[in-house]
Amino acid sequence: MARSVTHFLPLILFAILAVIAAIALMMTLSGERKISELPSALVGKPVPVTELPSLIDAQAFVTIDGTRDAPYMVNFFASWCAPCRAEAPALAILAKEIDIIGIAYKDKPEDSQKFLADFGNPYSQVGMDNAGRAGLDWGVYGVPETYIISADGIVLKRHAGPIDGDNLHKIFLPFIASLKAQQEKR
Amino acid sequence: MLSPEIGNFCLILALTTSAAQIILPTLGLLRADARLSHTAEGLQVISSIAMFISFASLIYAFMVSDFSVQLVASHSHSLKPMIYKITGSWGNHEGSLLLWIVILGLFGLLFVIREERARLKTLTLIVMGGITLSFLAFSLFTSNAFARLSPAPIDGRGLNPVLQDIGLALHPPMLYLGYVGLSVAFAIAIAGLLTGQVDKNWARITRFWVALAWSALTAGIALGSWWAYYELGWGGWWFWDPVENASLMPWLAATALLHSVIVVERREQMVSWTILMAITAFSLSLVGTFIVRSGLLTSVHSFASDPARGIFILFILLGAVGLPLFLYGLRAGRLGRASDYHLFSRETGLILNNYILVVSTFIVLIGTFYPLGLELFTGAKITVGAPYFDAAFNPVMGIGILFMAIGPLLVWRRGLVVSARPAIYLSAGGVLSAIILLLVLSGISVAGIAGIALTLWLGLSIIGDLVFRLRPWQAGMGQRLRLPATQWGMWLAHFGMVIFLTGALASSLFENENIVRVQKGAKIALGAETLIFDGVEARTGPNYVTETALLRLFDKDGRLIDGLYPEKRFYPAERQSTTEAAIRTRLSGDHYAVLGDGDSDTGYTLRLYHKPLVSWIWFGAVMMACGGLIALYRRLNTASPLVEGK
Amino acid sequence: MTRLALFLFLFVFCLLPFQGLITAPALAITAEEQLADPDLELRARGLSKQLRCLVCQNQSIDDSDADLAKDLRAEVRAQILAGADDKEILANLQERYGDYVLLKPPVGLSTTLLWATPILALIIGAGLILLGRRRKNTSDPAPDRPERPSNTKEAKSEAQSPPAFSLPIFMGIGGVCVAVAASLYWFILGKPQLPAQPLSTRTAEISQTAGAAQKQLQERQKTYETARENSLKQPENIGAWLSLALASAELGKTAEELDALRTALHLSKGDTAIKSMLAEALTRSADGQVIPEARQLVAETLKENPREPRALFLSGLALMEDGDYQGALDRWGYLVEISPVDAPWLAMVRANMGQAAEKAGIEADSLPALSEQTLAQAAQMSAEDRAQMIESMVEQLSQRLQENPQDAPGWQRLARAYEVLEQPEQALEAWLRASEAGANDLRLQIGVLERLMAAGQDEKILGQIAEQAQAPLARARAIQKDNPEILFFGGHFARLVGDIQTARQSWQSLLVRLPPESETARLLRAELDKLAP
Repeated sequence: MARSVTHFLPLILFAILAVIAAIALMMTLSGERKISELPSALVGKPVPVTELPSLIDAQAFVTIDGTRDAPYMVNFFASWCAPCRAEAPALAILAKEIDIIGIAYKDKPEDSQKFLADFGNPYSQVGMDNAGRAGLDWGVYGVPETYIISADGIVLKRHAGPIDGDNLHKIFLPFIASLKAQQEKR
Repeated sequence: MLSPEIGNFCLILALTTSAAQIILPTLGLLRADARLSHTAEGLQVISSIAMFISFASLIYAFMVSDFSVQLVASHSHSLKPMIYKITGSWGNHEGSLLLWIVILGLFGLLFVIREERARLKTLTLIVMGGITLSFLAFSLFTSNAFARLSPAPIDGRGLNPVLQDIGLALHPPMLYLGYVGLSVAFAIAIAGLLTGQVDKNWARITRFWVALAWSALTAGIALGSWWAYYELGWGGWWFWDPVENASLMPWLAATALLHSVIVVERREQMVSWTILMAITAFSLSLVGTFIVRSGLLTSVHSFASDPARGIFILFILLGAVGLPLFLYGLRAGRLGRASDYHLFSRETGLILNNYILVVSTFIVLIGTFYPLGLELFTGAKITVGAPYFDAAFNPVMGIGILFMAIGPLLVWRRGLVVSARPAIYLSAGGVLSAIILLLVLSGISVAGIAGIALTLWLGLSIIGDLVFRLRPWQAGMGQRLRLPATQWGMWLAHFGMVIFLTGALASSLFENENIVRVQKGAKIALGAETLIFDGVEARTGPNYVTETALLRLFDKDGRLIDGLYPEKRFYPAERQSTTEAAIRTRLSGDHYAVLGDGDSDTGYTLRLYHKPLVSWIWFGAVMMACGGLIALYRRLNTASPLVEGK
Repeated sequence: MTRLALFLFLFVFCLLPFQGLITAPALAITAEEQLADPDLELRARGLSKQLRCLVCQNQSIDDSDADLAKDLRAEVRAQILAGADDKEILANLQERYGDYVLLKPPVGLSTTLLWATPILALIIGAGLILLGRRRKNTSDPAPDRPERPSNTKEAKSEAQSPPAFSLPIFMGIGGVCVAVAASLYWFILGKPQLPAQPLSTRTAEISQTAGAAQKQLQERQKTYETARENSLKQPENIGAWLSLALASAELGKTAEELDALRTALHLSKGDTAIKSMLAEALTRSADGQVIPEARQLVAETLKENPREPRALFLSGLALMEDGDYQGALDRWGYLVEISPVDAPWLAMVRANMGQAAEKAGIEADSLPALSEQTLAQAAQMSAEDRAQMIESMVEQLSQRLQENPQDAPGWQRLARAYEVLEQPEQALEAWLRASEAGANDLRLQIGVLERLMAAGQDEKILGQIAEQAQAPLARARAIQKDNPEILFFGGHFARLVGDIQTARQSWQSLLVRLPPESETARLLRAELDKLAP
C-alpha cells in the first residue's frame, strides 16, 4: 500500500544517519579518522614562495621557491614544542634520505639554536619565522608540521604532528623511496 | 554510614528489577494474567527507590570525600566547597549518567502514582523499563560510577576553579528533566501503537507528560544559554555548537509534539503524526546524549571522547529508535481517522506549527551532521557554523512567527475567535507603522527590521487577542476571566516568545562595545554613558589573589550609577589564573566589563559592553516554561480520564 | 490564585538586581590589535566573525584566545590595510587553510545538499501535508463519532474487578531479583571487600604519609648538602662527585646531577660505567628521549663494554625512537639474557619489551613465565611448584616448536626454561636449535657459543661440544667475520679440537684489535703462549 511506505520513511532516514554514525565511529576507533587533523589546502599546488633569514648564518637567507634537483622536505618546528623533540630521531633518519629545510616557527633564535644543539640538527638550512607570517602562508596551524615537496616545487604531502616511529617506516620512508624511484626514471 | 558499595548494589538491583519489569508484565499481557501484568507498578517502585538510594550514596561519597571511589578521586578535592562537592557528582560522564538514570526512576515513580491502572499504563511501564534497563546496563558495564580504587589516594584531582560554578552545576539536572520527561511521552506513544487505541484519553494523558517535559527542557536550555553568556564571557548566548544543537532539536520536536497532541485530544486527528513526533522527540534526546559522549563531533561542551562507549550508545539507539520506528511503519496506518477540517481552522494552524518546527529541526540536524557525512564520503573537512544556521534557520522560524500570531485566533473546525479581527487590525497597523518609521529614520539593517516587525506582529496580536477577549471596558469581565488554564498558559508561553525575541533583537542590534587601552583616570565612552577607570588594585580572596579594576559608571547626565569590578585572579594552590568579568544586570540591559593584560605604566586593556534587554532572553524562556506548567494545572486537578470515561 | 502567584513571580524576578562576577576567558581581541579607522575595524571584526579558529573547538577567531587566532586577526587587518576587499581576504585564507576555516560553508557542488536543505524541506513538507490531506479526503470522511463506549466499559470492568495484585507472586519476583542482583554484585560487578573510606576517618593515615614524605624530603636534602660539601672539600675524589650526582637526582636537580657526572667522568678519564650513568641522566633530563649526546655516550660505552646494562637499555630506547622495534626487542632480549636473575631492572626492561612487541605487532611472550605477575607468583611459590609450572609451560612450548621450528625466540625461551629446570643437555640442544633457526642473529649465535663454552668444562664431552660449536661459529662468521667475540670463540673451539693453527690465527687477529695495555690483551697473550709450539 502506498500509504504504508510513507510511514516507513522515518525509519529509512534514521537508518541512513545510523550508518553514517557507525562508519564514523569505526573509523575513529581504528585511528583512521583523527578529529583534529586537517587536510592541507596546499597539496597539489605550487609551494608558497618563502624567504626567511637564516638561523645559522646571520647574513644569509633561506629561500624556498621554484624547482630544485630533487624532492625535499620542509619542517616547521619550535623549541617550545614538546612533540618536536620527540620527532628529532625520526628527522635524523630522514635527513639521510632527503634534504630537509627547517623553519623555526615563532621562536627566539637563541632558544632554537639550543634546541638544535640538544636534540640534533637534521636540517640542511634553517630559516627563522619569528612572527609566524610564513606559517600563515603555508597554512600552518600548529607545530610540528612537515611538508614534502617535489623537485618541480609542488607540495605533495603535509603531515601535521610529530613523525613517530610508525609514520616514519610505514609512510615517510616508503613515500620518499617511491619519489626517488620516479626521479631515477627521468 | 552509606558505603559506596550499597550504591553499587542498588544499581544492580535496579537492573534486575527493570529486567523483570519488562519480562513479567509482557508475559502477563500475552497470557491475560492480570497478576503478572500488575507487577509492573510494584517493580517500577522498587526500581526507582533503588536508583534513588544509589544516587544518594554517590553524593554521600562526594560529600565525605571518599577517595576510594574513583570518580571522587578524579573529580573532587578535600578543599572544594561543600556545594561544589555535591554538584560535582554529576559534572562528569559517569555521574551524569547516574543522574539520567535517577530521573528516569523519578518519572517512572510519578507515572505509577498519577495514572490509573490500565493496559496502556502497563505497556508504558514495560517500555520505560526497557529504557531504564539500557541505561543501567550502559552505566554498570561501561561507565560504572562506583568503580573503586585501592589503595585510595590521599586527595582528589578535581580542584579546577573554572568548574566550580553554580550555573554549570544546575544546567544538567534541569536539562535531563526535559530529556527524560520526553521518555514518558515516548513510552506512552509506543504503548498506543501496541494497543492500537490512540484517542482523546490517550492524548489527555500524554499531554500532561509532554507539557511537563517541555517546560523542564525549555528551562534547561535557557539555563545553559545563560551560563554560556556569563561564563564564556564575550556576551554571546548561542553559538550553534553541535552540543547546543543537540539540545535544541529535541526542544523543537517537543514543541511540535506539544501542539499536535492538542489536535488529537480535541479532534482525534493527526494521530499517527503525533506518535511519530513523540518517538522523534525522545530519539533526538538520545542522539544528544550520544554526541556529547562519543567523540563523533568536536565541541567545547563534550565530555572526554570515547568512541568505544559511542558504539554502545549506537546500539541502544538502534533498539530504542529503530524498533519503534519499525513498529510505527507497521501500525501507523491503522491509527486515527480521516481529516475533515477546513483550511481556515485551528487544525490548520497547528499543522502549520508542526510543519515549521519539523522543517527547522531538519535544518539543524542536517547542519550539525553535514560535516561528518561529507568527511566520510569525500574526506573533505568543512565547517558549518553560525552563519549557515543564521541564514537557514532564522528565516524559517520567521515564517513560523508569522503563523504563530494567527493560529490562536482560529477556532476548531472553521472560523475565527471573537477577538481575532480587532487583534489583527491592531497588529497589522502597528507593524506597518513601525516598518515605515524604522526604514525611514534608523540605520537598522533589513534583517533587523524584519525581526522587529515580526516580534511586534506577534506581540500585538497576543495583546490584542487578550484585550479584546476580556474586554475590560465591558461589564462582566469576571466571567470572561474564567478561561481554562490552558488558554492562560498558551498566552503566557507565546508572550514569553515575544519577550525572548525582543531581548535577542535588542541585545544584538543595539549593543554598544568599546575596547580600549587606558591608564588610571581615563574616561571611556560607552554609547550615551561614560565610565571612569580608577586603576587596578591588588586584593586577596579566600584562596586566590586578584588584580581588580575599579570602574565607575555614569549616565548621560553625569550621575553615578554604579561601580564595576572586573578581576584577574590567580589561584596559587592550583596554579591557575582566571579572568572574572563584572556584570551588572538590570531589566533594561547589562553592563559588562572584562579586564585584559597590562600594567600601570603602559595601561590596561578593558573590554566594555552595554547589552540592552539581554536578560529578557532568559525571562522570556522562563515565561515560556511557566506557561507550559500553568497548562498542567487543570490536569493535576482532574481525576484519571479513564475512570471517568471521558 | 494562579494569576497572583504568577504576578508575584515575575515581580520578584524583575526587581531582583543580579550583580555578580563571572568567569571569562583571558582576552579574545585586545585593544592594540584594533585598527585606527573605525569603519575598517568594523570590517575586520565582521570578517573575523566569519573565520574559524582552527585550533579551538568551534569558535571564531574573533572570540578565541589562541595564538593562531591572534595571528589570523592580524593577517586580516593587514590585508584590509593593503586594500583587499572582503571577498578577496576570505578567498585568500580559504586558499591556504581550506574550506574548514570558513564558518559559512562555501556554496559548491559538495555543499549543494546543505544549502538546498531549507527550501527542499519546506517544499517537501508542504507537499507531504497537501498529499496527506487529499488522500484523507478521498477516503471515507467519517463524521464526528461519539466517545467509543468500549473505552468506558473496559475501564469500568477493570475498576470493578478484584485488585489483581498478588502479594506472594510479587514477593517471589522480588526475591528472585534480589538474588540475581546479589550474585551479579558479588561475582562480577561489586567490590564488597573494600570498605568506605571517608576522608574524616583517614586523618591519621594522611598525616603519617605527609609526615613520611616530609621526612624523606628532609633526609634527601641533608644527603645532598653533605655530598656537596664533600665534593668541594675533595674535588679530586670521584666517589664524592658520584654521591653528589645521586643526591641531586633524588631531589630532581638535573643540572647539578649532569655537572657532577661530567666532572666524575673527566676525573676518571672516561670510565664506561660513569659514561652510561651520564647518558642515563641526559635521557632523564630530556623526559625519556635519548638525545644525540646521550646516543654518542652509549655508542662509546658499548664499544668498550658490550655488556653494560644501562647502555644496552638506552640503546634499545633509541632504537624504539627510530622505529626499529624488532631491533629494540633483540637488544633488550640480550640484556635480559645476560642479566642476573634478580637484577632490579629486569621488570622495567620486560615492560618495555612488551611495549616494543606491541608496536612491532608480534606476540609479546608466549611463555607466561616472563610476565611480571607470573614472575611475582613464581617467586612466592615453592621450588617444586615453580618447577611444575615451568614444566607444563615447557611442554606447551616444545609442542609448538615441533610445529614451527623456525621460531628462534621460542627456542631461546625453551632453552632458558630447561636451564631453570636444571636439565643442561636439553637446554643445550634447544640452544643449538635456536642457533639454527636464528641464523641471522649475531647476538644469538654469540650467546650460544658462550653457553657451549660454559658447558665444555666437563672433559668427557669436550670433543662433542667443539663439534657442535662449528655450526654456530660458521653462522656467526657469516654475519660478521671480525667480531672480537667470534674471534675469541673461534680460537677457543679450534684449540679444543686440536686445530692449533686456526686457534692461533684467530687469537692473533683478535690481539691486534685489543688495546695493548688492557687486561684482556695480557690474558690473551698468555693463552697464545700456551698454544705453542
